[in-house]
Amino acid sequence: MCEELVQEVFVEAYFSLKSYRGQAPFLHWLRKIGTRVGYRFWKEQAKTKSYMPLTDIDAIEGRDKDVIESSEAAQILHSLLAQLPRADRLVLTLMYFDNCGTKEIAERMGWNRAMVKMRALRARKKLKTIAERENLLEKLGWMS
Amino acid sequence: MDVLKAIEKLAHQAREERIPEFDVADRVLQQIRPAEEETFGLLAFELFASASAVAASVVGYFSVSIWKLITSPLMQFFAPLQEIRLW
Repeated sequence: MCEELVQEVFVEAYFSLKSYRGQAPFLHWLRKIGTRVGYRFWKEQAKTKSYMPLTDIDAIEGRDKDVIESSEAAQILHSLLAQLPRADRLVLTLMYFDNCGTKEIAERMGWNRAMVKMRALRARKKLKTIAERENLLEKLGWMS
Repeated sequence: MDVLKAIEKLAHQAREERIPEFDVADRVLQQIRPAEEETFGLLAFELFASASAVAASVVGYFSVSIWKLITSPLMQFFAPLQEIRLW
């Protein structure tokens, strides 16, 4: 799936080359396309109602390791974020995985910065509720 | 520990994940080529359409000036009869 999305990003970038004005670095422009392709993918995914199962979180429970693997951490975080509405998910995904600020998120999506800030705040609250419902702290007790 | 702090910690850990690399060059080219050919076909069509439009404009320009010179046969009924001097 990831491979198909990467392919889609490059194809879309090729056909959108006319819109690249050269004012910002090419990578920024490409990231913007990548973000939008991913966002669209979530929309399609929501239609088919296929999401990452939460069993991944249960799978890590009771493991002997003291430190969680980065791929496992990413998997857990993705499965938690997948329960959020699409726009909230995007904001927090960019914040957590790409270390993006509200300004950059707003630029990538063509959204208002104040709106992104507000969404981030609300999304965090929702994520907290989800994580508490999933007993995340208990499951990750060995991490603290 | 606060849940959000634990999530932040998870995120910090997740950022260290090695990003997989994919070589999609061939498949991207495969997808682009047919569309490119289609674009060239469209370009030829656009050129032909433009040339036709230019030709039509030229013909139209001359037609208008000639149209103005044409008098309607109906107008002949109302036109005053020309007097012919017999002697």
